Amino acid sequence: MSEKVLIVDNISKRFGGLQATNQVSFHVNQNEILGIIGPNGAGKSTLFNLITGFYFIDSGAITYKGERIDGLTPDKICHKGITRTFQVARPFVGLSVADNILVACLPKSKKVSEARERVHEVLKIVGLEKKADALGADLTTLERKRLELGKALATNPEVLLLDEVMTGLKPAEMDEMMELIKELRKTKTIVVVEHVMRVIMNISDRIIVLDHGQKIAEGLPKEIAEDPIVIEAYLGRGTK
Amino acid sequence: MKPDKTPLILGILAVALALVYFLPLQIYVRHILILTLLYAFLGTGWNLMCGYAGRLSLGHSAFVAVGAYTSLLLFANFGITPWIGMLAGGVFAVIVMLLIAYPSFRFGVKGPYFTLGSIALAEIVHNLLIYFREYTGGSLGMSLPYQPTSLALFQFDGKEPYYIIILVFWLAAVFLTWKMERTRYYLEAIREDDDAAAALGISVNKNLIIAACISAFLVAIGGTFYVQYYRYIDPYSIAGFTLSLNIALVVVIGGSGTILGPTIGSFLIIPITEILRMSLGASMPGLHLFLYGILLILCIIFLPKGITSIPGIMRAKKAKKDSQLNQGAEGVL
Repeated sequence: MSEKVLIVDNISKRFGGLQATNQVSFHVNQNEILGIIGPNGAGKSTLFNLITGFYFIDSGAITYKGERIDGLTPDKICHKGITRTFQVARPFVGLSVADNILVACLPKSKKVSEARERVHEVLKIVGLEKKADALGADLTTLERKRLELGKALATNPEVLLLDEVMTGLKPAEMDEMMELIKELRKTKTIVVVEHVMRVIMNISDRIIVLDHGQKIAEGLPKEIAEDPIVIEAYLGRGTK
Repeated sequence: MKPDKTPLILGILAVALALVYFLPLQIYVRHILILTLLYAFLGTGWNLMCGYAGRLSLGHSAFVAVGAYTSLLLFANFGITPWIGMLAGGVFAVIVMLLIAYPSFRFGVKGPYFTLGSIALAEIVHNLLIYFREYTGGSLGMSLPYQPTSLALFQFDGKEPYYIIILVFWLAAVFLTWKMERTRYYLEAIREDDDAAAALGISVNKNLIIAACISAFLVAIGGTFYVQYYRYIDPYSIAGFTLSLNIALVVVIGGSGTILGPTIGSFLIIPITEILRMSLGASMPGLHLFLYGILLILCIIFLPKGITSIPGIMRAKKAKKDSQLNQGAEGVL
């Protein structure tokens, strides 16, 4: 039985009149890929924001390797070993691609030269070697997504939270990205928020489903695909 | 990775400027050089917070004033040497900076709001200096009690020692900026997107506060130099908006967020302003400001990222041309 790395216990978050996250609990096992799906506005990105400290939870607890991390700021959580990507890629547009990666390598490197040595390695993983000198602003959507992933990898996380890395990619590019994620799982634990069903069903070991801020289902991809509650959340009750 | 040429350029520049000391220059040329280096020094201090971290301050004269008045008051009232007064002024400026920077950064005040806050701070300092006229001389200003040439008291009868001192200050500030490589990268990331920077493990507030404090400290030291050199200060010239604006302009035109941008901007702007003022100021009053304005407009239109961006622009143009040529060749083949 693998170890539970990240435990989210009964967390809630309210923004004014909107209950964005409502008593959600789940855990992530070591070296597992956990998929999170749900309709628009289900609270998937909010969940990432809560885990990584961009928002504070109203109640509940988030535990990473036996240590409470709720209440810590994003930079401290990153130092613990959890890094997230953003749904809309956020490259540092005024910096070159290589400098974007360098900045991400720095916080965990003792020396700048040490970080500099890792830049090329990361660029190679995400296939941006040829774009090293291009400005963040001059990248295509696919390249931005790759850079976003590259920045997250550069922090050398143990847990990687990927927020819709497939959005805007062509099918062939998605296949490439899936291979990359499957490669990464050998050393990392990954949580994926994704809209593209083909992707999530293919790469996830387990899936949880959110709707209106609540967890409505959890299980293996096959079970989720056939779960009537999930189908209803996505497609509605129908007219019968 | 391209090798970092900054230390080489800086070394050559420093040696060249040191050699200028031995040239038999007219007094007013020396004065312009001292002024240029002073602005290069102030600009380098300003650049850390406002260029690299993108927290644009148009109130840095507040810190120049804090530095200048602290060392002057300590010297005039207690006979404390301005060398110590200078450090005290720097520390005092850091405290004043923390009063505004900590709440601003803590609550994410940035953009125009931060800039407005910085202007307000300078206004407050300006008004306080006028209000406490028993100590500061109010709007009439204050003179430095005269002492014959003395290194210990930071006073000299000729201009040459001032030149060497400001050259050393400038070199130290630029060297410090260069040495802070890690912080520079962090600040640039924070300037571009502070949330994305935080997600990568960068402590946004800590780095901003470090930049702001060093910035205030350096600029305050410039204030002490100012009063020792001019021997007279008044709230309008040293805590006024014009000084704040000039510091910012020098950096923006040279290239903000670059190590040598403030220096390059200063060497372009200050001599031109001074020469225009000296040659046209008397015969056609105001014309020098008109020409200065035109220069600024041209810079903003054609070089919005400053003079230091020219090599980058040329490289990008060449890369574009090359790629077009390659595409053409592929089409033929």
